[in-house]
Amino acid sequence: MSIIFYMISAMDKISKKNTFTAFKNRTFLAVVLTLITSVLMIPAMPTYLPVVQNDAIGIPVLLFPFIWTGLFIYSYMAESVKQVWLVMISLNVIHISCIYFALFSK
Amino acid sequence: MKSFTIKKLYQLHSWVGLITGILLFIIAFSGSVAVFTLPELKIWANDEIRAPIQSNSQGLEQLIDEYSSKVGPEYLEEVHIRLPSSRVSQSSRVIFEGHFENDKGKEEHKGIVYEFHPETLEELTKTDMDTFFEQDKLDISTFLAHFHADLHLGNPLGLILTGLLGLTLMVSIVTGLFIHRKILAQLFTFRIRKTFSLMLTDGHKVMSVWAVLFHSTIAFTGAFLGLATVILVPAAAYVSFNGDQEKLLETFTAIPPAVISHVEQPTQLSNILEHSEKSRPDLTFRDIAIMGYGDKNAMIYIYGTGSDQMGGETLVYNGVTGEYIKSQARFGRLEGVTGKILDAMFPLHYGNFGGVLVKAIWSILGMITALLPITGLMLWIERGLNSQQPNHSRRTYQNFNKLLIGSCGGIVLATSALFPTQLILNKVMHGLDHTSAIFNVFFSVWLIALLIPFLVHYKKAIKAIYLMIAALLTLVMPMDAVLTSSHIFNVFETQHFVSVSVDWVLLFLGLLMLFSYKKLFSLPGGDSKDSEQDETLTEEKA
Repeated sequence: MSIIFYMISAMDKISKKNTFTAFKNRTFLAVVLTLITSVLMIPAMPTYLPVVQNDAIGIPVLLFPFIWTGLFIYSYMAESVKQVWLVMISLNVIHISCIYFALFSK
Repeated sequence: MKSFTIKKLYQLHSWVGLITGILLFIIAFSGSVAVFTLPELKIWANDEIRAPIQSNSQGLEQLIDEYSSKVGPEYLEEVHIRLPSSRVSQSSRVIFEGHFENDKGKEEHKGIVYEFHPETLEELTKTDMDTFFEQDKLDISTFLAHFHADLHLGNPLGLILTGLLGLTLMVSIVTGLFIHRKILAQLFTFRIRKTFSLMLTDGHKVMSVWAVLFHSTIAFTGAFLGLATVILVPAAAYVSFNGDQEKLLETFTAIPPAVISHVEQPTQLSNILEHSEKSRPDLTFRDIAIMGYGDKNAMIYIYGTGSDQMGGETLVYNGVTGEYIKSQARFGRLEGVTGKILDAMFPLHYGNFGGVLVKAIWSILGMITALLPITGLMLWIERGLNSQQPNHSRRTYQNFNKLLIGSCGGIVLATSALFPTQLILNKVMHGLDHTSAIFNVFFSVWLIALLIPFLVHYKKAIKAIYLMIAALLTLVMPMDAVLTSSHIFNVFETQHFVSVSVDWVLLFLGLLMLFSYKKLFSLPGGDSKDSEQDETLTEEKA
């Protein structure tokens, strides 16, 4: 564990030199919010996918690794960190709403 | 693409590799061995199943009949049989399972597990289902399979860790592909005899590009298999099944629950088993599930592997009339594409869909996946040591190098040590549980190997670990011949074809390592004297 913390602090030091802006912010988005968003999308996507029930449940599960990878890379690569926050929060709000309506609308 | 974007991707690629590299090697290496756990290493590790076991459908029917009256009707809702002839477990196992209502009014599964001698079908143990699955008895085969799946950290921590490693491997692949855009040129560039740094760079790129499809498949299936039970299934069940995970699994798996009529009628187990063996000689039958044993509505599902169907086939029979109904894939019976992809998930990860040849290819490719993080980390160390303005002190790079050698070399050494250990345990602790002994040997050897580079010069440590691995692998065949009297000269008599083949493969690998020792350490970076002097001088300066 201490090795990982050491690495992260070392990465932080390097990134401050030049490459990434708002490094801690991006790391939080990539590590925490990416996981939350991609997990939230699994139960929510069956509510709007226009396919048979098995696929509506299965496809989000199978897409999970790709969604996670895409969001993780996007968190670091996007030019503006605000844009990343906006995308993540929008995705979360949309999918939480889908879950809410699916569970409580009847 | 802008050079600044490439720089970002490069940095992301390096960081992910740095944080996960050692763990990724451990998982990938153990995976390349775990490919052979069922049935090859299982057969090798257990004397009782080394010779082929003939199918005994009559004996099995009598056995189930006898024990079904012992357990009582409430445990006959589901009967799960592990067929001894498949040789995927050291004993033949029968689970009698029923559904009961607990104090809170909730349904719960209870079961009684019997283990029988695979040849004589004599009763060995009787346990309740929960205890049986909690105290899993491990041999080298199951130990390595579990280690690959969850590093023996269990559910959920171990599974989450391995699943996340699959995800980070996907990040490394995507970022790596963007960084190395000139893929075609890099397919054929491998300057092995120039400098150590060039050899590492070219090796890293060649191994990445040639096997990119395999790395991607392993990363995706690994992430899915690691996270499926911990995150994905509970999340999927949350809305669609109101959180009922069991109902979701029932929808997706091949065997629907039993429909009990409470009208007794005998189940035609032996006739059905004989029919399935005659009609489908291409399949190796592993498991039987009888839903509603002795009931008018009994259904029998016989699962086998070996046909063109990835992930195996399940033959469905009416349990009372013995009528063959249909053949179905595990998930492929479902409407849509998901079932087909789910069916391919396990075979694509473990390479168990095309016989031993595919397994060997999968194992070699798995070893290449394991070498990727190693070459990447070595490059990072090499560049750090040669840089005019390094990000860290020289000692940091040297210590990381030692950690890399100890942990990665150590895992290979510990795995090699398990083979002689298993043979000794079979001799001195015959019939007893080997789990703790295997754990102790594996982790002690790994710990010692981890310390070696910090105690002696790292080059000497590499050589020592390398020679120990070679010696251990070479030793297996003579040890097996002495301890079990099973060897190439009596193989037609004993019929131990699988275990003798395993011995030969290990001997070949051991000898290959011994003979390539000189050549390997004469490559750039392997010349120990100069580097040893360099490091001593640097340490003195520090």
